[in-house]
Parts: sequence; structure tokens; C-alpha cells
Amino acid sequence: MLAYEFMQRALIAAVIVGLVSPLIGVFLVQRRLALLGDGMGHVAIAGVGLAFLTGTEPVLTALIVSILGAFILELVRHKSKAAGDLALALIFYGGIAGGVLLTSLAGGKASTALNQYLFGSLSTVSTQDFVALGGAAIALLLVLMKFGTQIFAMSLDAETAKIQGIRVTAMSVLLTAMAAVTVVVGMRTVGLLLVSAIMIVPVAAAQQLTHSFKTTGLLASAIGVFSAIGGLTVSFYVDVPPGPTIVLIALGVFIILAVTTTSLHLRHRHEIQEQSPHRH
Amino acid sequence: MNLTTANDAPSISARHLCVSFNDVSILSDIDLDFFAGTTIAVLGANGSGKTTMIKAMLGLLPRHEGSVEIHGQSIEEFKDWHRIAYVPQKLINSATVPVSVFETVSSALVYPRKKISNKNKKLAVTSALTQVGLQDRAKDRLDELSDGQQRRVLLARALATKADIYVLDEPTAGVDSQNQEMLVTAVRGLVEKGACVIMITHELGIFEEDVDRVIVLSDGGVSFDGPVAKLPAQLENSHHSHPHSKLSHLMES
Repeated sequence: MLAYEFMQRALIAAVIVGLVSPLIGVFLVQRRLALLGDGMGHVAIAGVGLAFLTGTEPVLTALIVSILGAFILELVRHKSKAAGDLALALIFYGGIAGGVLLTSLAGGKASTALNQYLFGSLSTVSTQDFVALGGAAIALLLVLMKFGTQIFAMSLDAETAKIQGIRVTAMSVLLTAMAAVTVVVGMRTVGLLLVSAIMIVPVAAAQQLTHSFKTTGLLASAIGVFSAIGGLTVSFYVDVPPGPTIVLIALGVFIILAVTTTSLHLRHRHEIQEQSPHRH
Repeated sequence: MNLTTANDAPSISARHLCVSFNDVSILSDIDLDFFAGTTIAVLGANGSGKTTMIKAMLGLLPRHEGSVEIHGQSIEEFKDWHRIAYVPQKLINSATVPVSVFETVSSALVYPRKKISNKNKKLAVTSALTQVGLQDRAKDRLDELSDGQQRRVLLARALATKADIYVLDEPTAGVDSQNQEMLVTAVRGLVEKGACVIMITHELGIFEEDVDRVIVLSDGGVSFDGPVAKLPAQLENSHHSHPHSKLSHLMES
């Protein structure tokens, strides 16, 4: 499989997605925003549609539209008291409807090309895409290194974080923007409709085993890489889209870990209760 | 920790503080100074605005009118947030991603303007957990601890900061009497080092002998401000909701 140059690029792109996405997803799950990435994927579709219509680079356009969507999203979340998730849903639906409409207006082979962005495609990861994805992933990791502890403190307890001088609104916007960038990083391999899954499912799987936030993030990242490599390999040999395959492997890991650890968790908790009869 | 005395400028000072929700006045014209080296208890019925007042003083809730100074600086200009530690009334919802006790406590040592080395963080967290008797639970998941233990973790999070203003909202809720003694010792140690400790509570309870000053809130204002000895008995344990309080009505609606 690695004899093909496009597969080498696709594999590295998939590893980047599997590595980075759960590191962002763990914060989203902590903030109970597991579906945020899904929404950002919908907004990115509008970016891809706009790129088809204007003849610009889809990855770059999707990146700009997604980050713009992230800012609007945070604005709505902070300013709108009554609308809540309804307003967010409107933005997301607007994204996918706008994306399909713009793609349709672009005509030609745009509709067929859109499928490659919705579900991922092995053969379409160009060198240009590859450089953009790698750069975005490095930027994400650098931002995480710089602001990760502040985002963690904000996710854990926003009020106390604010008293520590952490700019919680800015950190919230930053996290949403990082989710938007992650969506774009993953759209060529996993696809926009499923990229959120590779942010969230490995986290769900990892937390079956872990006792801390840090180990959850690291283990989720490892599961993400495993799923990405496994999914891409299966996709190559069986000739199925890589996105669904990667996500189904991650889901398989989650199911296996959830089933096998449930009894261990119950036994562990029972042991703790027996060791600490007075738990105050 | 800054070793200041009660003769210095107030640690926190509020002037004409007014707080409103939806155009309904909750607190009006509050004038208070909190000094270093003292333990202050803020008492009042449910809905009397205790937590609201403190949150407004710390900038967590918007003020309708009035001004707040921290260490002599306007709250808008105050930057040294590492000098303030806060224990919220609500426990942390840790039922999403697993969070360890160590991570929870060390999260208090993250400041945009001050970098603390991992080694110093570890020392501070270990020391704080030892003070609340949870040194053996550092690696455990927070959600595996009882409510009382989680309350002690939150106190440890505040203790780890080495701040000089401590705001503790219901610090003993759910904590058994044996461990409440431990909390009293910890608070006593802070005040001896010159800290200003502000406790929001329904009743003085085990802290009665250590509290220097009691502030009772009712009807949107301060109805008592003085030493424990002068506190009218009927105010001391007034922990039931004031049936006519504006905040109670707002919360119910």
C-alpha cells in the first residue's frame, strides 16, 4: 500500500488527524460540547461550497469559513440567552444548506467532488493539502502547549478560572476556533460529516481506562492514530471510504473497552467503598 | 503570601455596591471593607444575596452601581489574581472526562501572568492535600470521592495558591465533624499568616471561635456587622430561605 505516493500522503494525513483530533476533543467533552465539532463540520461544508463557486482552494477557504463560524458561534453562545442551542442549530443547518447550494451553483463536477470532502477520499490528498494540514496541526499543538492548562482550568471550573485571571471568554473562543481548524485538518481523510467522531469517540474509549484528564487525552490520541491507520488500511484493500472505516474502528475500540472495563470498574469501586467505610 | 496587618488598606473594599437581576434590585448600597489577618463570616438566609454579593465583589457578576477595590486597586485594573483563592459553593461536575484530584488542585496554579514550575506545583498540591487529609487520594478520580471529600479537594485547591485573600462559599457543606476540625486548623493557619478569609455560610458552627467579624445580609442590605459576641441570637442560625426575598422569588421563577 505504501508503494503509492498518494497513500503515503494519505497515511501521514490520517495519522495527523488521529493524533491531533482527540487532543482537542477531550476539552470539548469536558465542556459538554461533544457535538460542537459536528456543527463546525457543517459550517466547513459551506466553505468547501464557496471554494467550488469561487475557484479558490477548498482547504484554505473551509479553514477561513470555519474559523469565522467559530467566532459567530461563540458570539451567539454569549449574547443569546433565550435561543441557546436552537440558534447554534440554525448556524449549523445554514452551513450545510449553504454548502450544498453553493456547490450546486458551481456546477460541473463540484457535486461529485463534494462527496470527497463529506466522507473523505484517499486519492485526493494533494501535496498542497498535505502541507496545509501539517501546518494547521503543528499550529494546533503549539497553541495547546501554550494555552492548554488555561483551557483545562476554564473547562473544569469557569468561575474559579476567571478569578485566577484567566480570560475565560477568550479561551472559550480559542477552543472553538481550534475545533474548527481540527475539522478542516480532518476533512480530507475522515470527511466533514464524520470528522467530529474522530475528535470524540477516542476520548469516550480512553476514559473507560483512565483516571486523569492528561492520560485520557494521550490515550485518546493513541486510539485516534490506531483507528486512522487501521481505517486507512482497510479502506485501501476493501475499497471503501476511509472516513466511515476510521470511525467504525474507533467505535469498535470504544465498545471493546466499555464492555471489558465495566466489570473492572464496578469491582474497583466496590473495593474503594470497602476500604473507606467512612468517606467524609 | 503578603504579610499585611489589619492596619493596612483593606484587602477588599466595596462602595455603594448595587446588584440587580432583570431590573430587580437584589443588593443595594453595600459599603464593606475586608481586612487582612481577619476571618469574616457572611451570614444570611437562603436568597439573601450572600453569594451574589461576594461574586459581584470578585467581578463574577456585574455590578449595577458602585465600585470595588482589591488591595487598593480598582477591580478593573487589578491584575494580581494569584493573590485571591476561591472555593465555590457548587462542586465541580467531573462526570465527563476523568479528572484526578491532583489535576483539580493544580488547576488553581495556572495564571496568565505568573508561571509556576511543575516542581513547585507538585510541592504546593501535595502540601495542600496533606492539610485537608487527602494526600493519599491525589491520583484518584475526583468523581470517585464523596461530596465531603470533594469539598475538601476544593479547599485544598484554594490552599495550594498561597494567596492572601480566601473566599470560601459554604466550605463545610457535607464535611463531617472530624474533618471540619481540620478545615478550622487550615483556616486558622491562613489568618495567622496574615490572610483575609471570607466565609459565606448559613451558620458559624465550628468556626464560631475563629470568626473575628460577622456580616448578616437581609432585605438587600447589611443588617448586622460586628463581632460574634454582639450577634443577636435570632440572626445566628437564620439559615432558612427568607420567604419574601427578591432573590428567592427570582430563583423560584
